[in-house]
Formats: sequence, structure tokens, C-alpha cells
Amino acid sequence: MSLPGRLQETFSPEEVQFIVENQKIKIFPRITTSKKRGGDSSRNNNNNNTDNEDMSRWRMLTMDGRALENMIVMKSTEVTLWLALLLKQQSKCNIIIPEWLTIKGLDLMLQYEKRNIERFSALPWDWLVVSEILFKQAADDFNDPIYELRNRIQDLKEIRQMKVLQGLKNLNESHMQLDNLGLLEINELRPFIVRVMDKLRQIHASGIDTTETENQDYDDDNDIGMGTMISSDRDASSSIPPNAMSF
Amino acid sequence: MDVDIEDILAELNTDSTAVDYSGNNNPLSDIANTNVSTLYNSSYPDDKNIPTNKNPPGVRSNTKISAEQDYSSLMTLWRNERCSPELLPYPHHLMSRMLMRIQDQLERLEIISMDFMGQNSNTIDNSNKPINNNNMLPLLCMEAELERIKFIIRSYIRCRLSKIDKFSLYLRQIEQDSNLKSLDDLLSKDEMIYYQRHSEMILKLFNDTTLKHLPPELQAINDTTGTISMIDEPDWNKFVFIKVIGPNDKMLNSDPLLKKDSNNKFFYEVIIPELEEDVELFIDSIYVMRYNVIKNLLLDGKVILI
Amino acid sequence: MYCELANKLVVEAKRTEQLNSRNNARTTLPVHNDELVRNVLKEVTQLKKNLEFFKEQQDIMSTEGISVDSNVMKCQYFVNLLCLERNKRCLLGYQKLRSDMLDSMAWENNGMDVMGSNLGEENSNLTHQEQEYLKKYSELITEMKSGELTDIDLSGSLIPPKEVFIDVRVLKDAGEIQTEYGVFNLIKDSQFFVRQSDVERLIQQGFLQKI
Repeated sequence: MSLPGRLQETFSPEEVQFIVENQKIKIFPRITTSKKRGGDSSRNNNNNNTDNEDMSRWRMLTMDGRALENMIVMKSTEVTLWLALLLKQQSKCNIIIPEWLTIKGLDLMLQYEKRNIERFSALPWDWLVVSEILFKQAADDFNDPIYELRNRIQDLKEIRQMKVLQGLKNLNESHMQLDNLGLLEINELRPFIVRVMDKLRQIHASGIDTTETENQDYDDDNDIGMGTMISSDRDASSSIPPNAMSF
Repeated sequence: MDVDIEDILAELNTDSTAVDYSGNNNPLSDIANTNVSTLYNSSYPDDKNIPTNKNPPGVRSNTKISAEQDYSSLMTLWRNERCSPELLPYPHHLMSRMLMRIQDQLERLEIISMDFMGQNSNTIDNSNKPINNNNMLPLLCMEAELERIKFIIRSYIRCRLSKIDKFSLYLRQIEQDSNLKSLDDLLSKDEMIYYQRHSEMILKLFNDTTLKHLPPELQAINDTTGTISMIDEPDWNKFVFIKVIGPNDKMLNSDPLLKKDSNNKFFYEVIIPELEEDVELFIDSIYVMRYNVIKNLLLDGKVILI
Repeated sequence: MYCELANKLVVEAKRTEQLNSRNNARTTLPVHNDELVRNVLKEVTQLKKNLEFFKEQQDIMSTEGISVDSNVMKCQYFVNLLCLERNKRCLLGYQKLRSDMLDSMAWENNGMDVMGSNLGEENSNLTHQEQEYLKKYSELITEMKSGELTDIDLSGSLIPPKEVFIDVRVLKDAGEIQTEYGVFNLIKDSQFFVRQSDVERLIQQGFLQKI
């Protein structure tokens, strides 16, 4: 197989991280790349190598290179996460920790999670991955103690997992709405949810088939057959008010 | 002087057919110019503007296509392909732009690093970390970025090849049922070659090991008359995780398919035919839904698979 | 019982699949079960004979006007036909799984000819036709790699690049190496910041250690 079987069902954790690393994050550069400040471009003329200017230019294929060409020390700018991590690794920037990843921000989310049993708080879709990456690779950029943040992330993870488990009994053959569920959470649930719902769908479809033939074979008045039972069942499970966490 | 030899080279390189001219209303004289900016200017830093359009042949796009946008589209295409039960159309234009940029960047990086070698050859002995200087930083980032792009294309194509293998008999059916054209849109030239050659050799293997030892009436590989059809079709109703993102231009009011509920929230209305059930898919919401129900929205880039 | 042998083939294929799905290790194939395949094919011949026999019987009886319980006859015929079809499916399923595994092997081997490589002993598990197939498929991969995707390294790693550049410590003197970033003199206990792909080999060979 040209793609290993394990990758055909869902994304690997590494791939999830790869996806998340394309998100933007704010940084404080510790270097200045902007040519406008500190010496104008004519500075290059006294260098005997004329290509030198070209070499220090950023021509990026996945982002706007101008953000990188115009970095000024301690003047915040926005770059993709993987690049921020690379700069960080080179001690060329500090990462600005996002608002939600503070004790205050996480407490707010925790409160919401506890108050709303049927919903997930509006954490960013990459919250689990981003927090893990930043704890590991930008620990010194946090103002709050990391262990306190870690505890809260863990609490959030657990409380949301509880909700997911609670919601599994609502799995049906129609559909589900899962607002605010994070990418990593989705990716971990995917094989299970898809398999169960696909099975339910097949069972439902075969139920319809039999009732149809039964109805043909027997009295047509017999309206309260299996099919009706199943469909009314489904109606019950999908009659959750719109926007509610029907999970 | 601001003239950059690299830009001239790039201009020469890009003056080929690979660039999507479809949205270009400029006179011919503008084309070379437009292409360079098309290739390198990330003139659309606004994230929300990124079209998830796979830019199927014939679809006109009136925006300039930035490298950043293309990468973002490719990311979406990769994720869609990995999650969808069927093989999705090949993004001919997007991929040729992508591959051209990579080739360009590789050449550029080679020139830059050769230059550094020359510069550093004298100082190598006392510096064990030749990369650790600020001039090297862009190079470092561009190298890292290139690895990422290469990975995503590799993973994307490998995923597509595995689907081509899985559905080779089904593709053959499409090929025979409709005109050849549809398969040309679905596959790239290379993929087409792969599909033809691989199904040929696999058929030979099956023939030599199994089929030719069977009674003549059972020798078909694509028998659909038996109790079970031998042609594997995609599971059209497979459940997928979707996120509703709306029209590419974000003009919610001008999408005729979008409806508004009492809270003024926009949604697409879809029908699950098997259940005779209407479902409202709200913008920005996440659903688990049967693939067939959202297939058209997916192809229009109005939902993405996650 | 008919189809019992074929079922064994399926079970064997299933086991192979499970073994190979477990981790990231290289794909391996057990020996091709020639004997079992041959026996299933024998059964197919037998089933085919049965079918012809039933058909004949039915013809004879109907021409001689003997009243037969046609349902019993039809049922016998049908069961035999189903077994025949099932055997075909199992045989092809077995071969399909093996060819899938061969495909994986070819990709893992970068489309290089597996025959000449150190995988030689594993290849004795393959039939002559499978070896032929593997060779051809490897050639196809090589071709795919050199087409318009030549810059991509199509058979390269499917794990996302994480650290393109890494810090390494030299464990054993390894002399000078030349990379795009200059010449490195690898003296024991010195440290370098290098591109991972440049030194992958040296790490595997134990000259360098990732810090």
C-alpha cells in the first residue's frame, strides 16, 4: 500500500501537530531584520559581494515573507507557529503566550465547562496541541507557573472527555453536531465514532429493507412495522434542540 | 539598483503554461509581471480570504493567487483527501504552481548556500557553528519550510495513489461508462500512468496465480453478476467530520444556498435521503455527517473535512 | 466441508495483515502457502464437476419425465455455485493482501530493486510471479519519483518533518564531512548544529548523538 493502513483511518499525532504548526502566533523578535531601520540599503554597497543582500532576504512559500523581513527587536509581529519555534530555538524571539493559555483564561473555560454540561467551551481548535508545544518549547515565555497551567489543561481535558463519554450514548445513524471540539480530540475519537455510526447506518438500512419486503409480502395496512419504530427512535435522538451538543 | 538577478530568473522560469491564467484579464504584456507576483508576492495576508477552491479546470478565479493562499489550499486539499471515502479531483493548476515554486526555491537555496560556503571557507576552522549567524537565518527557515511543503505533497500524492489502487476497478468502470475526459480531470498525468500500469501488472498477477486456474465463466476480475459485486465502490455514505466554512469570498448574503434562521445565523440545508431528514448545517459548526450529503458542498469548498 | 480450506487462506491473510499493522516496522510476508492454494483450486475443480453433474441430472430427469423435487436440486446446485464463488473470492483476497504488502515493501525500499538487496532471504517467501510483480512495481515507483514530482522524493518519510536542524554531539572521531552549510570537522565531544538529513546516516552508525 502506498499509504500505510494506520494513516488511512485517521491522522497520526505527528500529523496533527504538523497541521497545528501552520497556525499564526505572535512573537517578540529579538533581532531586527528590517532594512529601513539601522543602516539603509546602501550599506550593502561596501560589501564586495553584491548577492549578499539577496541572501538575507526571506522568500517564503507558505507565508508572507514581509513579516520576516520587517522584524524589529521587541516589536510584536505574527508568524506561523513552526517558524516561531524555529526562531525560538535559535534564541531569536520570544513567543507571546495567547490570552486563553493563562491561569485566568483557562479558569474561565473551566467555569464554562462545569456550568454547561451539554456544551464545550470555545477553546481554540488546537488548544491541546498548542499548549503542549508551548509548555515544552517556550516554557520561559510564560508568566504563570507552568505546573498550574498544566493542571488546568488536564482538568479541561478530563471534563471534556467525560462529556464525550456521556455523549456516546447519543450516537445515531443520522448525524451529530460537535461544536468547539478540538482537532486532537476529534482525531482520537474519529475511528470509534465513525465505525459505530457506520454500523448503525448499515443496521438501519437493512431494517428498512426488511420492512419494505415484509410490507409487500403482508398486509399493507400494517403500518406500525419495524421501519416506523426505528425512524421514530431516530427522531427522538435527533430532536435535540438545534445547536445543543447532541453528542 | 533594486534589480535582482533571481527575480529575472524567476520571471524566465515562470513564463510557462503552468500558471493559471484563467483569472487574468490583463493584456499579454502583463503576464510575465503578474506571474512573478503570483509566485512570490504574498499579497493576501488576510487568512480569511483563502479560497479552499481546488480550482477545478474551467473555474474562473478573479483574485491573484499568492503562494500563501496556495499553500493553505493545499493543506485543505490534503486533509480533505485523507478524510474522504472517494478520490477527489486533482488540482492541476495549483499543483503545477506549487511544484514550480519548489523547483525555483531549490535552485535559489543552492545558489545561496554555495555562496556561504565560499564566504565561510576561511573561517570554518574557528567556527563550529557556521549556521549560527543572522545571515544564515533566512536560509534556515526557507530550508525548513521546503521540507514541510515537500512532506505535504508527498503525503497527499501517496494518499491519492492508495485510493487509485483501492478503486482501480471502479475507475475502470468510470473510464468505460463515461468518456475518458472525466478521468483526466480526476487524475494527474503521472497518476494516470500509475493507474494504468499498476492495474495492468496486478491483473497479470491475479491471472497468473488464480484466475486462469478457474473455470472460464469465473475468470473475470470485475464480475458484477455474482452474489457480490467484485468492483469496490467508495462507501458514499461513510460518516465524515466536517466543518462548515461558507463561500470562499465570505459573502454570506450572496450565496444562494445559504439560509438564515430566526437568530440571523446562516446555515446550509441538506437532506439525508435515506432517512428523509432535513439537517441545518450552520457556518463555523462541526458535524459528523454522511459523505454523500455534503459532497457537493465539499467540492465547492463550502465545507472542509477535518 | 466446502470452503473450509479457503477460509484457512483468509485467516492466514488476516494474520499477516495484523502483524504488519502493528507498528512502523518493515513489512514482511510469510511464505506463500502454495499447497493450500493448490488444494483450494482442486476443490474448485471438484465443485465445477458437481455443478455439471447436477445440470446433467436435471436434464436427464426432465427429458425422461421423472418428477423430481426440483427445489432440492436447485438448492444443491446453488450451494455449490456459492461455494465456487466464495473460493474465488478467498483466493483473490489472499493474493490481493499479499500484493498490497508487496506494494508496501516496494515503497519502503524506495522503489529500489528488492531482489538484489539484503531482503534476499525474505524474498524466498515470494512466489516466482510475486517476485516478478514486485520488480515491476518497484520500477514503476522509480518512474513516479523521477517525473514531475522529482523534487518531492515521493518515497520519502511519511512522518512530518519536525526538526530540520538539530544539535548533535560527536561520539567518535569521524573526520570531515561536507554539507551545504560548509565543512564540519567531527572531533570527539564537539558539538554541531546541522541539518538532520545530512547526518542521519552518521547518527545511525553511532558517530553522532542528537542532543
